[in-house]
Amino acid sequence: MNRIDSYFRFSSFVSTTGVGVFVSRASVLCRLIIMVGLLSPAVASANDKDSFVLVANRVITANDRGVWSYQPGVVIVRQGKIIAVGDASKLPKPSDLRVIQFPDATVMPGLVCAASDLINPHTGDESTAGGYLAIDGFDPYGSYDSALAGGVTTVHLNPGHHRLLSGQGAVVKLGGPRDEMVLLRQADLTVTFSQAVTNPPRDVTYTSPSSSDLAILPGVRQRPDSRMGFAIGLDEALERAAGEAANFHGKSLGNSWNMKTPLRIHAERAADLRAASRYITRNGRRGYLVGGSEAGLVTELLGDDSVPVVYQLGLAMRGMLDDIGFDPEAIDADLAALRKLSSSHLALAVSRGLAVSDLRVAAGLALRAGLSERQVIEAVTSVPAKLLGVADRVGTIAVGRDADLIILSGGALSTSSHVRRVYIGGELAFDAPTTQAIVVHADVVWVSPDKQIEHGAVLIENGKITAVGKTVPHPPFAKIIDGGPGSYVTPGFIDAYGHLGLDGDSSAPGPEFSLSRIIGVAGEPDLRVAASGVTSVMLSPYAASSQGSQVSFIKTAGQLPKLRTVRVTAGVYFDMVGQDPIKVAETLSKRFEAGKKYLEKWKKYEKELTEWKEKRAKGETIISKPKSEETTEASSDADPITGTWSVSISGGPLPEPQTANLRLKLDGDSVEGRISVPGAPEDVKVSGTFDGSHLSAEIVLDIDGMANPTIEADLVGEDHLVGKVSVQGMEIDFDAARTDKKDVQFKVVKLKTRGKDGRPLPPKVEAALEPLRQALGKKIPIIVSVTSAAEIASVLKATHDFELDVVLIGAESAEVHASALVEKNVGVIVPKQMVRWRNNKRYHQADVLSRQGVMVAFQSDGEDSARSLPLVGLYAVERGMSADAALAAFTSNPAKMFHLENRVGALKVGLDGDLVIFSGHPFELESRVIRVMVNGEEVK
Amino acid sequence: MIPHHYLKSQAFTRGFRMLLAIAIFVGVTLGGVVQVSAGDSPDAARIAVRAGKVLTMDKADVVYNNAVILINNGKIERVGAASKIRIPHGYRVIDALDRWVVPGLVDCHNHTAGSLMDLNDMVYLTNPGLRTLETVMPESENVKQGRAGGVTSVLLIPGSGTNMSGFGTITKMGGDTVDDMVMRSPGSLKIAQAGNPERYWFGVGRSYMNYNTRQTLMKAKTYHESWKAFESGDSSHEPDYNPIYDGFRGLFSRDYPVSVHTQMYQVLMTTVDMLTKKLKLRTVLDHCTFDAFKVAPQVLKTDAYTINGPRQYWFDRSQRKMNGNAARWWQGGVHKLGINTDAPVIPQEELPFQAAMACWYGWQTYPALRGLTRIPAEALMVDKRVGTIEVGKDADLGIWTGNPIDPRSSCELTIIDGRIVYDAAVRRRF
Amino acid sequence: MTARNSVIWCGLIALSLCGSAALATPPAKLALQGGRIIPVVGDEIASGTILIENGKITAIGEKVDIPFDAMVVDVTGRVLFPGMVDAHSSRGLDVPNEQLPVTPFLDVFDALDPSKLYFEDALRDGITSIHVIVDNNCVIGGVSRVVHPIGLTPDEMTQDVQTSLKLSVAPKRRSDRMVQMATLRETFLELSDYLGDLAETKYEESLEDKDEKIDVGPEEARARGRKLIRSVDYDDKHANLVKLTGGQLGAFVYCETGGDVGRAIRLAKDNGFFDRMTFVLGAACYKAVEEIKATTRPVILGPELIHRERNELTGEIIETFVPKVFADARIKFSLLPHPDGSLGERYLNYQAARCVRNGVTRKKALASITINPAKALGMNDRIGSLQVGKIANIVVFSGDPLDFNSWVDQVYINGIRAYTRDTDVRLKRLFGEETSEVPSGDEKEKVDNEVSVKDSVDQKKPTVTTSEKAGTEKKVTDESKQGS
Repeated sequence: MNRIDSYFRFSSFVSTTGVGVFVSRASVLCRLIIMVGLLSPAVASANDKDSFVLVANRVITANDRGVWSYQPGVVIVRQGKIIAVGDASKLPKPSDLRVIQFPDATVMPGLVCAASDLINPHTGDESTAGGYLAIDGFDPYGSYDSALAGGVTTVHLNPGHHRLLSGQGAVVKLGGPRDEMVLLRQADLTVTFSQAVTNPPRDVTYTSPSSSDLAILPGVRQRPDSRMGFAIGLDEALERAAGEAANFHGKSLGNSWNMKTPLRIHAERAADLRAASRYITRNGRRGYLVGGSEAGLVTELLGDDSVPVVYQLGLAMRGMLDDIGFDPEAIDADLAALRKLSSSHLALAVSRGLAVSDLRVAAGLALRAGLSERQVIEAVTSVPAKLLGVADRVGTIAVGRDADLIILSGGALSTSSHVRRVYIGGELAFDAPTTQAIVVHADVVWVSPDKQIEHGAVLIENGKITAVGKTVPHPPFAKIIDGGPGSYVTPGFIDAYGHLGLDGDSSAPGPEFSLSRIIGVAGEPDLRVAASGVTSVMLSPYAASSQGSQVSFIKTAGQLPKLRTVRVTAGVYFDMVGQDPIKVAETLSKRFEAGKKYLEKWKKYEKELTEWKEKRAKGETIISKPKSEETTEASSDADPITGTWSVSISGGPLPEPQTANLRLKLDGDSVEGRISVPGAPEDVKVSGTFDGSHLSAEIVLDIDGMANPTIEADLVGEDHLVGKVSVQGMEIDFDAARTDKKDVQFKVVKLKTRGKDGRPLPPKVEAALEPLRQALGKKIPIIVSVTSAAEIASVLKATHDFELDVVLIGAESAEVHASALVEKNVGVIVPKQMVRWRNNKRYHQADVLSRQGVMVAFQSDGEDSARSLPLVGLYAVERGMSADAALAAFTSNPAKMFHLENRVGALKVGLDGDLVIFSGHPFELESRVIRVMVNGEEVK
Repeated sequence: MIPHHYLKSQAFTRGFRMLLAIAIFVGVTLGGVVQVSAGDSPDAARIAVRAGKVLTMDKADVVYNNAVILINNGKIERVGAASKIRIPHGYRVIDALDRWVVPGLVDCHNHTAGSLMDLNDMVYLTNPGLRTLETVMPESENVKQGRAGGVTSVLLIPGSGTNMSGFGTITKMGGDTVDDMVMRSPGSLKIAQAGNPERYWFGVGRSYMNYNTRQTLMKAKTYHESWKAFESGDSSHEPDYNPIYDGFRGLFSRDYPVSVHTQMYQVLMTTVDMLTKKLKLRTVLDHCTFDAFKVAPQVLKTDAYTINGPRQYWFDRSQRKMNGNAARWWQGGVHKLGINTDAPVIPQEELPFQAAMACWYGWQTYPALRGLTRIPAEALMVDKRVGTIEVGKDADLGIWTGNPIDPRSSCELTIIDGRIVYDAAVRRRF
Repeated sequence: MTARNSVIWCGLIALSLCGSAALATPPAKLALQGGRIIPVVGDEIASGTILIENGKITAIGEKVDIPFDAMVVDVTGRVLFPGMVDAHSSRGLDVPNEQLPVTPFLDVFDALDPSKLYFEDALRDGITSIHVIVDNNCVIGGVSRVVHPIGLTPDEMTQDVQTSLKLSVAPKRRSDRMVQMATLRETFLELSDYLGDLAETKYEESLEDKDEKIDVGPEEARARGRKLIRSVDYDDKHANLVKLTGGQLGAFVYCETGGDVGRAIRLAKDNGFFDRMTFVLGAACYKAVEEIKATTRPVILGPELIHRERNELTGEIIETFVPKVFADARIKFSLLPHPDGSLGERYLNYQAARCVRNGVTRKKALASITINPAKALGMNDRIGSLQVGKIANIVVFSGDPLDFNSWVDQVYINGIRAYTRDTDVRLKRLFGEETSEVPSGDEKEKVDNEVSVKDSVDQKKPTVTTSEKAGTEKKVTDESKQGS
């Protein structure tokens, strides 16, 4: 009911005063559309999806005729083709192309898998069938993400290896422009020399349409029955193919044979490999062998002019540990054989039953046989491309080749590196899932002021730190960042008192207002601060309201306000600078007293609720008659404000002036009232303060997502208020004249204290006291801005009486109370100007306090000037502060002061992924910030 | 779920056995119920039957009570009321004064009069060149069993393994030689639709099956027409003799019918449309079970004969209703309705039992008796010889203890072509 | 059919009842007056009249001059919608597919089963034209035909014969794409060899007639002989393939995945039937939407409207509403009712409503169940919309066709009232309604009994000629029993 009411109230309010809200929103939209319209052609031309400059830590060309690798390297791609590759520092980059930066990554050609089970073998019965094309089993619209995630961009498709001549293979890409995916439709005649192809099923010819004059014949037996039948079986098939009566499969075979299609022969055993090699050379064909377990035993295969081999590596991957026993046909792949084979004739592929996505790792095993990294890489890129007959398109990073590139998070053959991105024909074919993990390596991991790990790493997953140590897990697709030699990684720095994003607004918000409401997407100034290493800010208003203002704890980077806000109400801020110490104590105590009463109400309620729950659990029912009585508040004497006011509002978004009726009552310096607008169903509450000349009030609409409209008006004469009404950032002129000074009475209905079933009802929420309730509950501190020793004493007393945690800002005379501060665990946010003269001696306050054991923190007291805050630490160290203390002042101390140790302030498991990577020691002059992470996302 | 009829038939069989036991006892003590005059040779060419009731099953549906049938030289010489016929001398008299005499029963769908084993020869998808004539076995025990059940003529047809499994033979159930037995060969062309033939080869579907039947028939028709043209002098070109298609000539000249293994609405509808309507063949629709009776309006427009069985009921799931197949056909107006056994699917001697089941599921007795005698004889185009008791027709009779359709009745004497081929008094079988 | 029989038929199958009604002589002129008309092509008429003469629509509009001799049916408050078109269905077939992969010589005529409950359902659901075609499980299936869901034999049902051949580039069951495509290529290669041989033979025969012998070489002989081939010369195996490649038959080509689309296009282009090809698409084919669009060939979407695919890396299931993709690409598509759908998918109008729910415009959704399938069948000059000159296939809905509270109230086929909800026996039974017009199950039994008795009376009794009364005589009719 209430929500609906408030909606009506709101709509009536808008109908009279707020049309402009929507008008302005529409105009913003219009502007956006126009902007997008203007920008989009430019965006399109600059960001052709298949043209870019790729910069990476290392570019492996795999090109044995050119430079083999560049570090750092750059590849320039235009319309899907590589137009240049070279040293990142030397090669000029075209200005019209977007630049893709992967400073930690290795770029290499997309892997070429020369044998795959990507399509199932055909189901035909023919022992020699030229008419089956593997390409028919390929779906260019299929999803090949797992293969791409393994870095494989080009595969050979096999029609099967279950027949002597299974059909014709094909070579395809697994992504990129669709009409360029098929590299070779009929790449080879796929032959198999193994026991698996012996005893093929009978070949049945259907007589169709059959009839009474066409007999149904049994199937015909086919060759081969044994190894002896391999060659003769093929020769017979070729002979039939050349004849007049060739059937479909014969004709297909004949055509391919005549077109000099290469022979691809699968064979494992030495005898079969030898026979296959001879068959290819005897017929003077181009061709290669696949499988090759026993290739090392076959001398014919060892020379440079021998038949090339695609060696299939399997082994005990993915937990497939097979017993061989006494199976005479079983062969164990022999890595030693690899070393004997000519490197330019050796391609590596996965074995049957192994996914192509495992190619990189399977091939990497060849390192164990003694092959070099270079040789292994070539064996999965340029060499298979050459064997398959597609070297003019893929397999190397060279000018004119297709831009089939893979970007690895680490080394090319490292187990900890993963494919981050794959480009095929210049198009992004695969992008590692965005919920990525980040592994940060550094020479020193400065976990917290008292702990450092040398040559350690930090793992961040989903924005949180999940592992810290000498070694951490490397989940798939983890982004790997290495700080390099001498690097330090520290927790993100905290600005303990800043105004980032306030944009100069020096107003003092009421106690019910949280600055976190103004937080949006991190903009340019925020990111500047973030990039400096300051990842969090204790966001405070420039001035505090006399009732105390809220402060919020926010992150300096992030896309969503929700993600940026660490704590909406992180503390209650009182500005007591220059006040009479007695007044300080009085003001604070009065305020704390109100908060305490409020807290007790809640405590009572909570107690009652617990009791009620206990009773209820026991099965007792408590029906108490709900109280509901009307009382009227006592009226006060006539004063400058109390009475009825006739209001006129105009200007701003309002098309024409509107009138309203405002009734106000002054009680002390607080003002209570009601505003009624013609046509509105109900009066709306107004509450605020009056300091004798200035009325500052809020129209309490309480609509989610919208700040309440405020009235700021000055008493310009007797019974005359002039000022502004602010709604949604728009200002409307306010002019009111008192028409009646009579006391105003507002009906106050006392709330029921018990629900129907006896359940205690919560007290009314008082927004202005809520922050204090939290503070009195020791959830957040009281933050007080003070200077003199007397003031500090006053503050300490007041807060001591109410058992409050307190943080002092400024507190230039803090060292006087150092022992008390240490005892009471009071933090001090030292002033910007820390170097002072006292007793003719220059001293540095942060250093002095921290030496005395006081918890100190640094502040910027500015907006984007916080970007220079790290220098404050550097200077403190130079002035004598210990580096550990300086780091503590930036990280663990403010986290402790604001009770946020479970979110920020250290590199510990479970904390936010906020960290800073320095090229050297964070507080050394030559060191600079290399990278910054906020919530696990890198600040750019 | 045990089908209702199954329980029924079990009970029936028990009752039937008991009845048999009693009959045997009575027969033994009284020296035989059917009195055959002593001294006459059993092979006497002339027989007089004195019957309590004679169902002639002729077109006038004449029933004689207390009648005499004279048989001479294998044919019926006279039939009429006892009061009007004097039995001449020299006739072997069979007294069956408390018995029923009905025409020998005719079964349109029999596989047992031959070797039984050689039902299908499936080298081709259609095999019309085959004939069952080669398999007829006079000495077969199945033949003996059949005539003990009062069945005197059957159409011996090949199996339903392929769409066309060859030409059948109409045989008597008595005779010492094949020539004695055979009434006509070819008796009919056997076509099988749906079900069994679809399973042959790698399995054909419904379209292929009908296409297959049609294209074979069209080839045969072309063959027939080219011969007709030559014979009538319209063409001087003498066609080559083709053993596969030659049998079709009589089919297209309507000398003998085609008998079709056909069931279910769609299949039967296609059969009627293709064979009867479009190719104008004399058609005998065999089985005609499941929901086939829905085709009645189509069948009514043709001269096809409907021979129902062996399944006698169909449960309609969509209507949740039992249907007696024969009764449904009859209600649909199809009165050229007979009954078959598909022996050995149902033993040959249980032909009347099939009719009994048909009646049990709603058909009527007299039409059912007609469906065992005259209708199948007409369907097979042998009604000039068998199927009724009329002067000049073959003396094929069954002497029954009562109504053959009554499960309690049994056949006591079977006469085929004037010869007693079964006599319960000599050796009772059932 | 006699009146008595038609009563029996009513008891047997509702379809037959409809069939017999439909086959009765229709009124020569009929006016459906006062309904809201959704013609699909052209603007809606809030309240108008459709005049039907001899089975065709002769006038349509807000005000139509109704001839004095026209039967007037008041359809006030009802919605008149074109009879819906099921562009691809094998459900009317008894055994919808062959084991043999290549069977272009077959005709669905031989497998059509008018007694299939499907036809009864189709009529009840407002589908008046059904393209009966071989199921997707084939390589080359037989020729199809377009039927309406009434009639007792395929001939009575047929609207259009021999419209298209069915081909599939997706593998037949227990096969694979390599074998499938090889079989297709083999078939067309064999066809061209056959045609060459036939042409050569023809040429040689023509030489024999002329008694001269000129050796022109095989190429030339084939070219000359090709002109001598008459349509009767083709054998069964090739005749329909010649019609396909020669332009007399259309081709419905089934594609299961995006990759199949390219293969289908290549096959059609290589063999000269691209211009007469209609796509029958599985849900995954939406990925090839651009390729399909470029062909401008008609598109029939399979009954599964939502494509689900699991991302192999993240495990996430991605759902795509397929018609929306085609609608966004501005491709005109036809929808199919779901053969196995136990829910709304089995209704064509529900399928269209789902499209609207997923953002396809109402206009496109309505076209996808009427004029688009009609066009795919090449029958848009006769069916698919309510326009003057078209066949009067009209569905009278109780409300908007896309509102699922609407019922099909009446269906007119060729201007004949083929269905009325009031006399739908099964529907009544579904709702447990007892009506005086239609016998319920029990009452129907009684009707049957009556008929049986009447039959018995009609039955000529056997003539008993003897004067003696033997105790064994029984009345023939006594034994007539009813199965229980």
